[in-house]
Amino acid sequence: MSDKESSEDKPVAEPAPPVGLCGKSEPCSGSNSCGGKSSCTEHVDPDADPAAYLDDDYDEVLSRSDFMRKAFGGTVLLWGGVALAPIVAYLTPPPGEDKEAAKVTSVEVCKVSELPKGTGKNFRFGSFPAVVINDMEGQLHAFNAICTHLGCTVQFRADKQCIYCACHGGEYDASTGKNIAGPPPKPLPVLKVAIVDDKIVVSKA
Amino acid sequence: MVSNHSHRQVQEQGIIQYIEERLPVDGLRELAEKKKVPLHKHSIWYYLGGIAAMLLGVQFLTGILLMVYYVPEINSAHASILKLNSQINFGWFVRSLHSWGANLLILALFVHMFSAYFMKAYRKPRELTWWSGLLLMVICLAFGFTGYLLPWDEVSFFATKIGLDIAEKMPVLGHMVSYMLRGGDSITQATISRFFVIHVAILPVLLVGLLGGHLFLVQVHGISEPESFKKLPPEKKSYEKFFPTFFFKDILVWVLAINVLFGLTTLCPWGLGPEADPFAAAPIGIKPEWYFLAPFQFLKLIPPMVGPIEGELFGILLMSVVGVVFVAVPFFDNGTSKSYAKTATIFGWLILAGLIGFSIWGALS
Ligand code: HEM
Ligand code: FES
Repeated sequence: MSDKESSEDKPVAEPAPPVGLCGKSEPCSGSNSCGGKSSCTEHVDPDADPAAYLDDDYDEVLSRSDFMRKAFGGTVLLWGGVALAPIVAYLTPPPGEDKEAAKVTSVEVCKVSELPKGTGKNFRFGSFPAVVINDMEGQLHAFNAICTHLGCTVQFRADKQCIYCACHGGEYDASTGKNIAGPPPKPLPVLKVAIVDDKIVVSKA
Repeated sequence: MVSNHSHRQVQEQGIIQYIEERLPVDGLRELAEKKKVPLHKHSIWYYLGGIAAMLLGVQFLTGILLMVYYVPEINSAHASILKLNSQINFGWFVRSLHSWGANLLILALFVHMFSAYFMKAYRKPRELTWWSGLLLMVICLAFGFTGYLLPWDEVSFFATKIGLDIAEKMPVLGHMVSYMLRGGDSITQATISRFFVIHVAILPVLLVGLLGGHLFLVQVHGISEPESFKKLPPEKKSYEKFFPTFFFKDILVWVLAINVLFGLTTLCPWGLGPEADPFAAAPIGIKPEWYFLAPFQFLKLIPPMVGPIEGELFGILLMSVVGVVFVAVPFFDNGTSKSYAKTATIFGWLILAGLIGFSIWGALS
């Protein structure tokens, strides 16, 4: 496209002062007093390489059509940006929409008698799932139940006496929450457990 | 108008002539008559694109019908599917058609893509056709991923959870993109709304546009001929006419595919698990749809950390190499080098074997 257009544009550019052409051709070395017009046109011959002619030196004698093209492109970009920004902002929900749930600091899970030795129970802790375990020795442990691998919800498995994630078979130690097998990279965050009035109460550590 | 014709003649010819005078029918007729399909031992693969297009039609029709009863609301979504399955006349049928259709469509697309790959149909001048096809594949996988959440049962919840958490691990834009798709930090009503809009509005528009381009390019270039066929002397090459020969065979194949679809739909209607509970444990034995099984099984094998990078990220980067190769293959194997051509073919077989192997392994384990 540029070939055809530049040859059409040529007549417009030619009357421009030769300074613009000399400016970038080496022998001129920045000065205006290069060896006359002839040597300059030798270096930048618009017929031989119209594209170079257009790209390098046109800027300085910006033609009307080139100006319009740039202005048009700039306007399109500007409009695009102006339109895109509010759309991205619109689609990004405000943080902490479930603030109420996130404020929860302690939860009453169930009666002690409802969680026999060697079992576990999943429950909701405010905004995230959690698990409480009564181990074989009668010790209580509680953890955030979001698998540290890809975020599935873990559960206590009585047959393995460990915390297990069904999604990719990750395993955690039931008393410390440490990741012991499978893909999980980190231990589960620990929650505090207490017995209050014969009820199991879990709170943030 | 046509004053020197009798009234009756005008009536007979009227409609055809009316159209011919206004639309370039001759051009189209010429195109259909000129178009020819090469006949060789791999010709059977030429039917797959048509099957995919037909199944897409089924998805559009059934999808629109589903929208009449489906409610994209967190407390009603599961119930609305239950109602479709049990109370609406033919509701189970429409829904099963949509679910099975989605599976067959993706299967057809996989076969279509690999056959194009092995016939080296991505070479000049068909690069744009190849890339638009890859994008169509991505769009259809996105259809599958977003649609899967909508019934809001146990597996759909965890499939979405894992999918978005994987996206979150991608460097740079991962967090922003997954946060926007999820509509927050956890899967809620916002996620259902977003997935619904993507599934029924954004993806269909993208799909129709891109499919139009893809089919247009196929018309422009004609059907590609594999190297072994191109080498034959002209008198040994045989073709059949696209219209009517191939066209009617195409229709026959569609009817066969529709029968497979109806068979699956009626013999094994699509099920529905218990309603999703964001605070319950993931059910033991949970698995993704078969077309995500291979990456699923692959990710299971990678240790938590590979050197300094997290295993997940490492796995994803490794798998994106496959994507990059598929995008770049027209540059690499451009028909000028025999050994590059061979490398591309071997790579294709390795990927295909890997996909099938990991899928079977994932299904069995
Ligand atoms: C314009 C086209 C489409 C529309 C309007 C549409 C609409 C819907 C609607 C309303 C649902 C929710 C009802 C339900 O879950 O059964 C749904 C589900 C689904 N859609 Fe689509 N859909 C379209 C195309 C597709 C395509 C091309 C695919 C292919 C991959 C697809 C795959 C799915 C899947 C896997 C489900 C979940 C099915 C289930 O378990 O019930 N959809 N779609
Ligand atoms: S999400 Fe738990 S092991 Fe992958």
